Amino acid sequence: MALTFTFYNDAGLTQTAANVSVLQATDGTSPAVDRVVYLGSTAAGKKLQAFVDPGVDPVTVGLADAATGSGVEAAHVRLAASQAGLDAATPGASLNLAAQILSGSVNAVAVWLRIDTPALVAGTYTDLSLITGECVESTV
Amino acid sequence: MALALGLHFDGANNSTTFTDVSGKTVASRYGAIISTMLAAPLTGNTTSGYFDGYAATKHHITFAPSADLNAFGSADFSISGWIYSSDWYNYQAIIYGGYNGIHLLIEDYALILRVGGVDIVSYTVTEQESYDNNYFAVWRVGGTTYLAFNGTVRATVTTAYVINDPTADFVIGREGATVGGLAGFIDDLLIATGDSQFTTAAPVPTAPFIYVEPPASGETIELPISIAAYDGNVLTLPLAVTTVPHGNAGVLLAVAVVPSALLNGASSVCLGVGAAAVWAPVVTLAGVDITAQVIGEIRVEADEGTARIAEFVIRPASGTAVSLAGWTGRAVTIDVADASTGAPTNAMRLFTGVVDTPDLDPVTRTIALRCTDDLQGVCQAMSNAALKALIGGYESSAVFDSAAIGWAYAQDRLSTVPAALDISPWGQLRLTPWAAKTTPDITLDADLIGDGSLGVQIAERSALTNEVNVEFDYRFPRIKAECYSVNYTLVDMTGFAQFVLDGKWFLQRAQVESAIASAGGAIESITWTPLPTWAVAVGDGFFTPSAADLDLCMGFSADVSFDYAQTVEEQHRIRVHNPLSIAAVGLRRDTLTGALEGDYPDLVAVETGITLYKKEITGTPPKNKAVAVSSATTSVTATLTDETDRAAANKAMEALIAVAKTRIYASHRASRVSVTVPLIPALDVDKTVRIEADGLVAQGKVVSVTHALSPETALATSAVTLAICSLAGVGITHDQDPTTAPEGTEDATTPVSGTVSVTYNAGATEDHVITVTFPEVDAGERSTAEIEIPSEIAAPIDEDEFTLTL
Repeated sequence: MALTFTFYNDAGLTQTAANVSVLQATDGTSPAVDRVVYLGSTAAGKKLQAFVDPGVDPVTVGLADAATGSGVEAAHVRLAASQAGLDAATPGASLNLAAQILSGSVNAVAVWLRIDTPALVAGTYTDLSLITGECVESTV
Repeated sequence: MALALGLHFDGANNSTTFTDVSGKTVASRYGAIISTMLAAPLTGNTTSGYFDGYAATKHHITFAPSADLNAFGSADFSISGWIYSSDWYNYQAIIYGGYNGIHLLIEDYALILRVGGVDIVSYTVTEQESYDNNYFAVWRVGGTTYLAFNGTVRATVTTAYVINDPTADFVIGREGATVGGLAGFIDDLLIATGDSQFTTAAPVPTAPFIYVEPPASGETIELPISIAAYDGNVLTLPLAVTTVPHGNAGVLLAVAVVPSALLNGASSVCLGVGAAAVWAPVVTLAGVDITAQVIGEIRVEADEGTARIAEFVIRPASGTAVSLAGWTGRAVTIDVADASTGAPTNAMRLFTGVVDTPDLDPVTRTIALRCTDDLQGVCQAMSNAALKALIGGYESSAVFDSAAIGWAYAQDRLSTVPAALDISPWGQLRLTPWAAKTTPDITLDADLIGDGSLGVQIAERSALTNEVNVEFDYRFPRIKAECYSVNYTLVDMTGFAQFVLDGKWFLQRAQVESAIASAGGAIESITWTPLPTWAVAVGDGFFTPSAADLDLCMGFSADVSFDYAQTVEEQHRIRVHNPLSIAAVGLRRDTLTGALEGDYPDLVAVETGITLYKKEITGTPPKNKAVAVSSATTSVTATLTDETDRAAANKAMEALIAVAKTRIYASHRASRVSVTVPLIPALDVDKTVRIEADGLVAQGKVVSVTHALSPETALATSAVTLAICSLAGVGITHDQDPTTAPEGTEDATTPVSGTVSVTYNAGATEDHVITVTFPEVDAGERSTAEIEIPSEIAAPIDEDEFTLTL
């Protein structure tokens, strides 16, 4: 059974994020692009916690690279809990969220991304994913 | 525990078929068999694996190299099973996973774990044990390696070693072709890697190990337990194990990298990048590419602050069954791509949204799809907290509807912010400031701009607003205490004797207190002039003190207060204006009004409550009470609800000021410059665009863009309109004041006016009545105070470059 928690385009959790799409220039001159997605669940009465030490350790989100060393790298992406936080975020570093995330749109958690790639060959790169750490989902 | 290998060695006698419960393929080589000759003493167990190490070919079984058997590094692991060997002296390999892999062996009467040629841990068996079928366990937990034999831990070491021989076959029963053949039996062999079956002990089992495939995330498995009684009956206990859902939530990052020329407008899709272009739209509906069904023009319209709209017509293949009702709400994406290579490349998103209305034309057998990015719906589904975080701005329950949610709430906040809220072509909600960037995202010149498409529309003066008068009235109660100092002397010692001789009456203290109370006053403090406590010569005799004199006095000094409340109405008159605009085009005035009334009990009841409390008629203290100060009128602002107190009034005024500033800015960016160019997908309402053509130079934020793609005519265009805010010219700095509420009135202390009169009829034949008369409360202290508070705030605008050379 898959988790009901997933990433959405909107804080109202009406549109599941099929992907986080951004546009960058081949010569690396395009400015950094900020995006926000929301981690949440529309199921009633659920909570998401870290797999290890649930309720104590934070739920984390990080970047998984299916092709390390080529294409878009994790170091080209910053994560933060707010847009203002992106400036100080360490490229490639994962982000700690709360120890527990409750379901429902009012509890959706924003995850901001800033993507800024260097010169790359034209194409669409999908080797990078935004992914939570191993989590457990249970009833509140 | 992560099972890597599990062998029960069950099966028919002499069978060469071995089964690994973890699913690995087992190969029996040179006669290794299942045998009933010997079996570990486990319930129901009748067989074990037999290996003839004396045979020239060394019977054994093998497994292909795998990471969990051969290369699990420094991770925890455990190996357990039963071993019987007919020769504990000569070298025999029980397990050989390569030189740098697991190497469990018998040599010189010892059971040894050897890795990389180094003996990690060992145990020398007794003579009896060398004749027995023994249970062994070797495991590593947290860097410590244990060796247990027949249930007793025999050795522990903390030697560090790495299991890493990823290409070697994993062999049981020998090392090599002619080396280390095991002469004996192995049973119930269990290997776990990445985790350990044991921690600090490995007791001898009495039954074969049970391996159950772990249930998947959120799944349940049944594990009934059966207990056989001596009488043959079997009791079965149901047992179900359910795992909670676990795993990861993730979303793919799709980074489209296209030539920079497509992003900065140096080239367009139609013109190609350095070459004549062949372009193609890519339209998907519910994730299915329906580009081939699209006929006619595809239009995508984006206007600042409104939902993005896409319209196109499809003609499904003949015979296709469609359920139009189910199409509403289906996901739609529209991209435009370079098709010069035959396959779409450099795809750039124009629209992400959902079908709003499908419209069937039964005559032409076509379906017109009107799609929207559902900006309102997205906002409506968001919490107010999320919208507040996204938009910022000001809020006030006195100015806006406090029950507003979603879209209405967003509009309230947006009315205080010079920015536009919309959804990107990729479906992401975003806020874009009205102010154009210093460096344009895209520059459009005469080479790109279509002939005759350049249009300029200057905002009408009548549409301008350069001054907004914010009229905000704030009514609230102010609690006051008017305190009079009353000093009265009936007689002093100089006239005392005559006073007595005249038969006059001294004042009774209770009478004084009663007189003050009758006048409506509350005694804050009082001191009495007592009668003498010594004998005083009076005529021929003496005045002799008595105990009753304590109830009398020759005079008194008292502070007496009167409590009341005053309604204060602050009439804030805030002039929010842009001086340069007024100077340039004259005054264009607008007005915003608002009011807030402090939520407080009826003031008459408040006054009564304070008086009753001061006179100790009631023990309930008033909510607010001014501190009485002798000969002064003091005041204190009443404690109001959070929604109506001073902070709420300030929030309301700040919201109104922000609305006024935004309104002034909005009216000044009403000029428009529009052009049509070959389709540039990067043109969007979040972009700053510079137009240089026909003597005109304009740079501003895009307020609308319409992409039109017509595959049939090969025309693809973008019609873009800029908002231009040009008054005094770029480089001119407009005055601006912070959005801060003006100061209100403060609680004040003023001297009391008028005097207190005291009359007492002390004569022997008089009525002996004392009367205390206080002045009336000054009307200015008690009547509703209407106080006008004027202030001025400069509202800025950001100038856009806009020059025209004819």
